[in-house]
Amino acid sequence: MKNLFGELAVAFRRLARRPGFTAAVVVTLALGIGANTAAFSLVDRLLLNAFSFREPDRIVVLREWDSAQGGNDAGFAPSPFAFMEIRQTTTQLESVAAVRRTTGNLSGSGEPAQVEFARVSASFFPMLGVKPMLGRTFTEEEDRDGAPRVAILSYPGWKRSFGADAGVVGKRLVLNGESHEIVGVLGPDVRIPFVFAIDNPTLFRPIAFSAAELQNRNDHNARAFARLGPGASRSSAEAELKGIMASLAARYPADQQGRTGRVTSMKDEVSQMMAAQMLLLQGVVLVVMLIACVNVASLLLASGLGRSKEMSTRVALGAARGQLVAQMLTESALLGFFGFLGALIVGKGLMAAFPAIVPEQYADAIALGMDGRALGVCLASTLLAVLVFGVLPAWKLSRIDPASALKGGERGGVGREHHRLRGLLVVFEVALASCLLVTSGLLLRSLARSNQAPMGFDSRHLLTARLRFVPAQYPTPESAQAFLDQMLGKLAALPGVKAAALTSNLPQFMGGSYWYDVEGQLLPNNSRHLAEIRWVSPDYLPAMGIPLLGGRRFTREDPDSVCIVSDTLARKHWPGQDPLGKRISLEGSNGPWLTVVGLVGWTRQWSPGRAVDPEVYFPLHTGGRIAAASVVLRVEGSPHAVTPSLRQAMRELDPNLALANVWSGEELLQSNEAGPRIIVKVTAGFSLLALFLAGIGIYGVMSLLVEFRTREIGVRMALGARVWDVLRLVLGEGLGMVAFGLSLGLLAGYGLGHAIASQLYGVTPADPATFVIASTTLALVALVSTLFPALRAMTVNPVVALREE
Amino acid sequence: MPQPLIQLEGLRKVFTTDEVETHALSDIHLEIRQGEFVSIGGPSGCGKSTLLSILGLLDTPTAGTYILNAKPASGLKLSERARIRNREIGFIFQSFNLIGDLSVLENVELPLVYRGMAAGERRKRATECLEQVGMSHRAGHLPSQLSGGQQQRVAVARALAGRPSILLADEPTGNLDSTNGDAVMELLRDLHRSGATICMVTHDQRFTHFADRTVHLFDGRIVSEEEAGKRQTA
Repeated sequence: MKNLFGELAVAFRRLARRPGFTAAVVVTLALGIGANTAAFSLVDRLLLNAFSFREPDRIVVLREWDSAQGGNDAGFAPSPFAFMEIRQTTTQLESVAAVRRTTGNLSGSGEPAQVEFARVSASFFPMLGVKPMLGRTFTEEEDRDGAPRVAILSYPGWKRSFGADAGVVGKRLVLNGESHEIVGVLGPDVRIPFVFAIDNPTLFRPIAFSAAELQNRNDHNARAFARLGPGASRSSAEAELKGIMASLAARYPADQQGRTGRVTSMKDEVSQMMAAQMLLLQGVVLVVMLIACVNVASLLLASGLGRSKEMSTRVALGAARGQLVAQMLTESALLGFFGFLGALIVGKGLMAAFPAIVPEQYADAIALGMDGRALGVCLASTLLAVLVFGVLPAWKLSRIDPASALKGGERGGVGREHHRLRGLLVVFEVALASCLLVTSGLLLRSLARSNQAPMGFDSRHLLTARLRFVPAQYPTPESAQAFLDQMLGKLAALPGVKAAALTSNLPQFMGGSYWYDVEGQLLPNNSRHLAEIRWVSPDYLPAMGIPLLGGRRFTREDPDSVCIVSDTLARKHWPGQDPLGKRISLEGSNGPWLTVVGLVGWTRQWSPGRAVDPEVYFPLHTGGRIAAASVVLRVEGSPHAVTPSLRQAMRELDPNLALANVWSGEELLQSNEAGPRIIVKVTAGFSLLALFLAGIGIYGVMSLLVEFRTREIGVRMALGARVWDVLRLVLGEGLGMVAFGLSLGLLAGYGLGHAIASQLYGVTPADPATFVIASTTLALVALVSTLFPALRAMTVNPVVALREE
Repeated sequence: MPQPLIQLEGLRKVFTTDEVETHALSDIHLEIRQGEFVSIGGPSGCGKSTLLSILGLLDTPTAGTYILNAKPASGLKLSERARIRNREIGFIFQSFNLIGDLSVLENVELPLVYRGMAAGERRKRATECLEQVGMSHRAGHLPSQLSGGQQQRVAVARALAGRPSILLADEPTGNLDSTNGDAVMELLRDLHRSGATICMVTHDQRFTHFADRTVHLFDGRIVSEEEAGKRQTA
């Protein structure tokens, strides 16, 4: 142990005497490991969400399954009726929970705010194995229709809306005009994964199905999750669910015929949702770290070159190879320790920067901190890096020829060998960096193409906002409609507004799909078609810039028996026919049937990479009591120039009405698939970091090359070489290595491009522009990195150079 | 007659580079007895340093026998060679080869560190060796703070620290001015007088008379051996 301290002290002294070298290694390590740590935390939060639950492997997702349909549309959440049936009869599931996402107006404490909240069954938190930080979870009695209203705050909600009030339990909040008692607050570690489809909720309240809901076999809006019981497996639970669904199908053939059940693991679903992106980001960061390690190994080899005499002396004095390796690794470990400290700072800095690159509503969700897991990854990365970068130079130096001690060190032989090795390392890191540049270039161009892809509506000069009505204030459909008419009139009259409209849901944000039947085209076994459904006001089409292709728009006088369909739906069901006058039904084959009065262009509900769904529009005024809607304003000039007058108008209309997601059309597009967008941006950022590190690596190697060949350059100059000949010599050697590495990297990039082809939109894996841009960028960085050492070589004084050695 | 400390029989060393053979040493027969001071001389490239490398187990001969302390040195594993270097041989290099990041005392302690000696004993012995060469007052300094002559004294102390059977000195005055060179040679003579066995490579004729015997090499062969006051040609 004393020897170890002694070795550490000597190593520390060595590093302190070489501040430039030490700083270069520590900064490179800090960047590589820090980036790795931050990326892990991001993946952890976005995709894994840290699974702060008890035994997350035992949590499963329950689905009804339409056996007649294929693909993802075949699965849907169990109806409340089926949910209760499962809950009452299961022997394989320990606890079964229902979850439904919704939004509401939170008022009572200052300015009203529209918030995301989740309605969950009392079994939800026990199912997750989560205990609140303050207070308690819901009781079964509170999860009954008509029970006194209670709420549990999420940690961000507690901080955001209640100022982190430690005495908040027992106080009351007003949600949608109803008073709720706050009974608990969740801790910061409780984060609900995306698979639960409840985005960053401010609070939770009991789902408390009404008696009518509990009889409903066609409402599939509440997702069902469960924890496997003792001894149960996913397959045994699925077998049981299939049995339950078969029993329901036998008892209620009209609704349940052809329905079966599926049970999937929550963890599997999470990883499937973004497995490709997760792999990509992890891969990118691994490459960045590898480049950092290569750089450090290269620096250590360079440093080792200067130590060959020391090493040969140590060998001559009787040092065993193991002792030399241990000594070198002690120094690497010390560098690793400082790199680790630096990585903590870099990692924290990057984590703090992430929220700035995502849409505002996701900022909270990815507000990352250096938690225990991140710290563990940082430490593990450091150990791995020390092993990767430390072992190679230690092994090389320990093989030194001991007889070289008598020759005053082994500058020639070892130097040449080291130089060859460092050349290989440069080729390797240029290959890695160029591969990364190609990959991120493809992703960025894909993102750009996807941003430019036709969405079916005009996102320019468009302002949208989400609003939630307090039902108690508009007790009848008529009063609600009167309010909407008043609102639309007031909004249309705002300065700069060309058209104002309302829609139940916007394209690109929170879709609302529903089944429908087509007259004369009924599917067997109760199977039905799925479409995006929207209730819209008459001016919705011009406000959104959606073209009317046939028929007419809605009018205020339209009955509830008319609809407008998209051309996607029309082509699917009536190819080559006029869809006007055709009929569809939302309520099943017995109708009522709705007549198509208009044909419009399609819009994309999701990303361009996914197929366009059929769409059906209904007149908003026939939709009954609509709890939430989005305002759509077609404006002149900048959309957000109208935002203040929109807010003012809303306050004048109803001071309790909260606006949320006040977005321009561009922001609306950006909100879609935010997760993959974040990954692409982060990937691009890390590619730039890789480029920077590769530049440093090339510079380091070329500097050493010049230093190593100073005497040779002196001889060449003495023999008549001009400065340009020297420049050509150095540049030629440096750029030769870069060209080789670049070729390998582009080849690897091409292969990787094919591997991520499914993630690309509008760009082929062999996209020439991407390859040209990536090659040019890397070549420029390499040229700059090589130029400075080359210029230094041009200033070599032959007299001084020949006197060396 | 006692067994010689070093015994070389028919030693050859051939370097092969790109199918070209260079005979660095040919048919070397040499004995060095306990307590003897042998100087190896000859022009540059005659094989002096190669011979010293083989004597110091830093290199292996192509053919011939090398017996050190009555034990054959051929066929030893790397770890055994390192152990013998550490315990039996003390090196003094032309360019001192002190380690710049270690203090004078730490440099002298180094062979004892590799031997696994306890720190207290190590320090005591290193200090004694420094006193022996008159450098104990500089124990805490770094090599860069010493003159060339002082650095070579420290290197001698380091060579002595392991109490080796033989000191191998490679041009110990080669990087020193004449005053410092003389001082280092006086130091070696004192060590020899106190019983140390020394084998020194030098091409400086001024210092050959410090040795009991001088072996002359030319083109890798021993061309003559000269005991103090007596010359014998091979």
